[in-house]
Amino acid sequence: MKFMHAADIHLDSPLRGLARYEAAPTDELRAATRRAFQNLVDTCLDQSVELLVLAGDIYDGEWKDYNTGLFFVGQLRRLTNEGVHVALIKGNHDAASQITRQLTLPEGALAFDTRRPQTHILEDIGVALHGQSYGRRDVTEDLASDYPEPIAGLFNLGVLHTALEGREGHDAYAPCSVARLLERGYDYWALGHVHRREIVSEDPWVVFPGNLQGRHARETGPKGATLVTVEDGSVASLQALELDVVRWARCEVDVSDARSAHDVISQVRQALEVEAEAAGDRLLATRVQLRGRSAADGELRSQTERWESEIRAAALDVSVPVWVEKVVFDTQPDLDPDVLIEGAGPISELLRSVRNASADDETLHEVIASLKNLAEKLPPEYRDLDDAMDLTSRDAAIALLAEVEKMLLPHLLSLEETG
Amino acid sequence: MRLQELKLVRFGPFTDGELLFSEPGKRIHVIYGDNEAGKSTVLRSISALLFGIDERTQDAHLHATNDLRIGGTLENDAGDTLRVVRRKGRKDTLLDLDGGALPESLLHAYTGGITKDVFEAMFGLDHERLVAGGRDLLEGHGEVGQALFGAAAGLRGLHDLVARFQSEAGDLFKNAGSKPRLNQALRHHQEARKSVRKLALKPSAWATAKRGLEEGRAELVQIQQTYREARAHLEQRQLLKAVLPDVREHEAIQARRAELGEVPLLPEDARDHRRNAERILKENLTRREKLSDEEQRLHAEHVALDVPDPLLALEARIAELAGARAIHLKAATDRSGLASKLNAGVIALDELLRRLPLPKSPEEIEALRIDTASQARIRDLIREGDQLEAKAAASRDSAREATARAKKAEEDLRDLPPTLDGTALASAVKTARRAGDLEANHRGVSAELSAKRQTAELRTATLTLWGGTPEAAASLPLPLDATIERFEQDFGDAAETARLLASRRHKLDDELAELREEIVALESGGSIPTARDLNEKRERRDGLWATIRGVWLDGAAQAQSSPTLAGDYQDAVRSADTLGDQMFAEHKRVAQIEEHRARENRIQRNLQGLEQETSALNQRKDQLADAWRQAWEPTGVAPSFPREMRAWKAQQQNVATLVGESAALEDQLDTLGATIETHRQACSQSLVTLGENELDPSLGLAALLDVAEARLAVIEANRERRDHLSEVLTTAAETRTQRNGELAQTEESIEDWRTRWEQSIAPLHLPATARPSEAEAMLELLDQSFTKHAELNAHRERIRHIDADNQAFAEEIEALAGEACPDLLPGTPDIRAADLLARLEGGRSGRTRREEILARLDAITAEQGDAERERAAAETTLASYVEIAGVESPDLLEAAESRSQEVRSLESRRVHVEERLRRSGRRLEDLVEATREIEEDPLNREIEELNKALTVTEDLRDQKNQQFANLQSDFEAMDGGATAAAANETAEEALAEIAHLTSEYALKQVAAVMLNREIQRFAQSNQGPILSRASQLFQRLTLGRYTSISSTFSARDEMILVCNRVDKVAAEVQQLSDGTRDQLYLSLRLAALEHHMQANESMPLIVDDVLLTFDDPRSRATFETLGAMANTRQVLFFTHHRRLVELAEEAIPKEFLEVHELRA
Repeated sequence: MKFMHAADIHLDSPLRGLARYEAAPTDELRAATRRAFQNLVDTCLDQSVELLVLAGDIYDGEWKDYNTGLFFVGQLRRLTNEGVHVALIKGNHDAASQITRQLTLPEGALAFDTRRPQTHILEDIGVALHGQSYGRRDVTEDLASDYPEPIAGLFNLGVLHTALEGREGHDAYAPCSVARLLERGYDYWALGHVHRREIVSEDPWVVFPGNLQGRHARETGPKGATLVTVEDGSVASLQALELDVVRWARCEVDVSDARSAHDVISQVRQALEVEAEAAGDRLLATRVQLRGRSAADGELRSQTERWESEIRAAALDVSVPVWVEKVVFDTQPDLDPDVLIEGAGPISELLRSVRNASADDETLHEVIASLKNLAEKLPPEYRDLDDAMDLTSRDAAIALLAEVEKMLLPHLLSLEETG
Repeated sequence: MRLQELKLVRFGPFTDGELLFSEPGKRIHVIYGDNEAGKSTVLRSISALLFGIDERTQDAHLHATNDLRIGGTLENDAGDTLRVVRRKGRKDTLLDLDGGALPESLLHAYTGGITKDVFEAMFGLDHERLVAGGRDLLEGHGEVGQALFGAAAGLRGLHDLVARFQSEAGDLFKNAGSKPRLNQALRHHQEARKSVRKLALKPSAWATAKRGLEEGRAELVQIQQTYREARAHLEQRQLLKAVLPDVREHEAIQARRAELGEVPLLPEDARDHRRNAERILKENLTRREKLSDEEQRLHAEHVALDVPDPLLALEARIAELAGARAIHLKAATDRSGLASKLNAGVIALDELLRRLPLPKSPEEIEALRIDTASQARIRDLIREGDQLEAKAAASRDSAREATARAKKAEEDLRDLPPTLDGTALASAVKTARRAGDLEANHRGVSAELSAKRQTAELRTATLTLWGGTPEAAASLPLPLDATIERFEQDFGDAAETARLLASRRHKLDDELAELREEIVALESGGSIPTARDLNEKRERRDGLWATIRGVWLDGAAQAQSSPTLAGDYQDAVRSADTLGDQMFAEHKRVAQIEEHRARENRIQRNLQGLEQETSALNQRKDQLADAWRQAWEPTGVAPSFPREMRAWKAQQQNVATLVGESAALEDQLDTLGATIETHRQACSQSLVTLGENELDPSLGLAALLDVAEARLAVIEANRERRDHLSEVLTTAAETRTQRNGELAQTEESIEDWRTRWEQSIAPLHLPATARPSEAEAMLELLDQSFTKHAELNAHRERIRHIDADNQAFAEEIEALAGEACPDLLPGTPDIRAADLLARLEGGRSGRTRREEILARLDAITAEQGDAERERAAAETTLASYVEIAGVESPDLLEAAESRSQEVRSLESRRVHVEERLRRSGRRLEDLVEATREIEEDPLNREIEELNKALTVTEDLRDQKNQQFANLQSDFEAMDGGATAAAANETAEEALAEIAHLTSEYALKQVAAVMLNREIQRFAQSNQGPILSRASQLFQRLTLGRYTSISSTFSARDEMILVCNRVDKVAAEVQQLSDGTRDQLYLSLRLAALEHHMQANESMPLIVDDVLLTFDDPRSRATFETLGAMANTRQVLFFTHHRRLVELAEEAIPKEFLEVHELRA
């Protein structure tokens, strides 16, 4: 018997942080979560699995378009028409979703109850499924504690949406300990909620398959589902399948050896090639982070926009379509800026003053005031972004001053060079 | 820090080079070197020593990169010294003298911790930086903060940088903008969010649509059922309507058939057959009668017919007579023609024979016949004789003509003049021609010369301020252009100053006049009580009060002295109070007048000051004018203004040029004259040699050349004529000899011919002397005679043949007539032949008619048989119909036939009707049953109503169908599509762009804020000391023309620099000349550096040829300034101008200065 275990589909949630630019591969980016889900269904059919288990978070909580649900049901029908069982639980996002409430699943697909844990027996394939859906978003009790006893003679499969004892970056819903899962006596725990693939235990198996499609710069690397083969009532093998259509990567390049910005570009191109290789033929969405103490620092920082464009242009040469999410200039100048800042003369005084400004309320106030107009115009969604700045805060002003210090130095020195 | 020594161990073009700056007291070092001496290398080596050799150094062309070494000894302000060596590399490049690596931090105590960039910016100063600094001042409008910060840091383009940050931030975001990128991204985000809301499908909307669809489907099923039923009913009624006429017809047929009863059926074609038989019987009778009549008539004709059968037996031979008769008639005609030709021929032959020499009868003629070969030979000889005669005649004519030609040529030769040699003359002419048109050249140069002279004189005449010849004008000792320019500038400055003074004077005058008017106006507001007036009033009041008091207290006896005392006192009190009030009220006016008076005084003092400045200026102008006149003294010219004198000098230069050019032209003229004369001499001499003794000695070269060429042409023509005549003579002699030889040969040939001729003509019976023409005539006559004789013989033979044929024809006729026609009439054979042929024709006709009659009789017999058989068949047919119909006679057949026909017709109609009814698909019995009670009209009405009802149902059904289709398509549109999701992705992209641009904008914005803030802060804390020191330097560098630099608020409310001139006029940066602005920048730079070094480690000031645009006094002032600075600091001054070295030596005391000369 073979079954597929997937979770955290987040259908129709957009990929985040990708600002469009000229020559960006926009078409390849469209409907990534949908295409990944189609990949999942295609693979189930190709592999002739008997059961697909979805461990929660099929939708994105705030998303209200019923078309998403229709798409989902349409895809499930492809499986049930072929006699494949589908079992799903609702996760925290699904509980919040308005789509879930109206949707009728096709015959042959079952959803677990929200009020109490249930057992569904699939006699034709010898499987007992145990699970409980979330009835509300913030389930804080240990759902696993009430899960039913295993049924002898069947393959017992527990389905649970949980953060276990807690996972970084994930809300601690339905907390429970691994020990509790192990003592329940099931053959396989199909977990969801944590977006990073993880095999928590091998005897019995406790598995997070990770989400199906990476959605932002922090969800890097291959994404997909876990294919499980059961022989004689126990797990014979596990296989992680890569089903994502857009691969996220973080391309960190140490440019210490670069003598000019052009050197940096060619180093970045090489690094992108390596990432592209790993992505197969998918669109690669990547953040390029330049770091190291480099002779090119001044050249880069005095024209960041230009070099960002150059890097994006270099990405066009790479063998797969690449979307450069952003370029982070995290380099330091070749010469120690502190030598200059501690030195004598007006330039040193100026830089010193910028550095000390973080401790000066008056200056901070002036900085914040200069950004007030923009701060008032930013949409509320902006605040939810990872790299959002609260332009009205002291912290943002201090961070900006630190960046300004790095930027001013090459600008002032290049004044003397270029006149 | 001070650089004590610089060792260029291996660097650029240097190997073991060194510069020592260690001599005590000498702190200003002028390093002089030619262009290629390595000045720039030394400059680079200082910063390379202190901060490291450039990664991509240009100084590794002589020494390998790794071998580069610079050494140096440094001394800091604290008096410590350090000896170091710098190598090229990426780390550990600072070494001690033994090559051991030293930490870079060791140098901090000497450099004060500055970086290379900062060192070069702050302590390096070259011409380019100076000019750029001045330009920055201009572009920044002298804004104090940027001017001071830029000068102190040595930064150029600071103004641009601040503006750039501001503009880049503005390109990203503007508070009320729509174009900037961030504003656009915000809008895009908002629009995309709106699209999402519009496109997203609500779950309840889907549920509603689904319910609607199901209801619509049920309704549709219902209406379709109703429609089907109505339609079936209608169709049933329509069917009845369709079959009703047929059912009725079927009934009628059945009734008629029953009425007719039993009827024997005749064949369908019985009537036609019967009628045919009757017609045959009738026609048959007539035909047989006709045949019988014809038979009898033909028998009679046959008996009467007579045919000549014996004649017809000879038919073939008689028929041939027709052709023979025609030939017989033709031959008779031919024979008479031949007989006449024969007679004429005999006469003609006799005539010919008579002209022959010997035989006379025709029979003898054969003896004269000559064979063909002999005839040909005689004819050849005739032709040959003619040719030989003609040839001899031609030779004789040609010889005669040659003799005559030779004689004429000899006579012409005798008349020709003698021969001359023109070679020498030709050579002289050729040489002269090759030199070109020398005389025209001479005239051209001469004209140019006189034009130049005239121009020079005219220019000299218009050269004002001076009288003399052009040559004298050209050699005047004038002042240099530079001197004139210097005076021009000085005069200009003086005039400018005068203009400023006048303008200030006018301003002050205007101000004064205005002030005075105001004072008058203020004063005219009525007399203003003074303090003294008030005091008087008060004294009077007090005096009266004392009196009243005295009266009241002392009961004084003065009471009577003034009965109006009380009234007076009251008046005095009121008067004093009124005046006090008035003074209080007028206080403001009083203060204004007083202030105006004070200003009036001040203006008058200013005016006096102006007077003094004006007179000082006038004095300066006088001195300037004196100097100007002195400059021109050596020339004796009383100079006008410098600008005009510059023009004057230009014109004088023009005259000098013209004078020089005239002298050159004169030389050219002399040379040309001599050449012309030489050529003339050569030509004249040659002509005289040729005998030309009467030459006109005044002829020019060109005319002389024409005469010589004419002469040469005559000589050449004579020579050609002589040559021609000699050739004619020779040719004529040759011709004569040749022709005589030819003639002798021809005559020999004639002799030979004659012998052959005589032998040949013997058979013609002609004498040996006979001429060829006679022989030819003889041959012709013989030919004619033979021909005529042969012709006569032929005629005779033909006549004999004709006669024989006629005989045979006559005999055949006789034979035929005797055999078949003994009664033939006698006559000529041709008449008898014609008769015989006519009789044959008659016989043939008779025979043909007899054959025709016999054939017709046979045919009649056959026809009569046919007619009998036909009659019998018709009678049989009629008899058989009578039997079938069961009638007694054929007359009754027609009625029987009619009955049979009707029965058949009824049967056929019945079959058709039944067939049609069967097609309706219903049984005949059922149809009959169903239509039993039906009437046509009510049925039609019923169908019409059913039709209407069905249409209504149909419309309703279509309507429901359409509604359902709409519902269905709406529902199908809810297909799980991703348009809302796509809009959401767009919104996410816009949001990402917002985030990106926000960071960028914030960075630019904060950078601009900080930069501005720091620049202003620097200005605030350093403005005082720097400006005060810069004022001193500026005064010195401008040679006292400016006294100070200060700051003030501009129209744009910015704090800006102003330069105060010695005449108290304040100039803004834009009003300064470029040079003065450079000096202002230099002053600010030097002042800022001094200020910096008061608090920090001092550094050597590296100055690279900054004085390129400074004149000597200003250069000297600069050196003095640098010399003064060098009291405390080290200054390295690089130059490749020897003059600057001299100026430095003049301006700087020896104990401070050291000059180094560079040689690479």
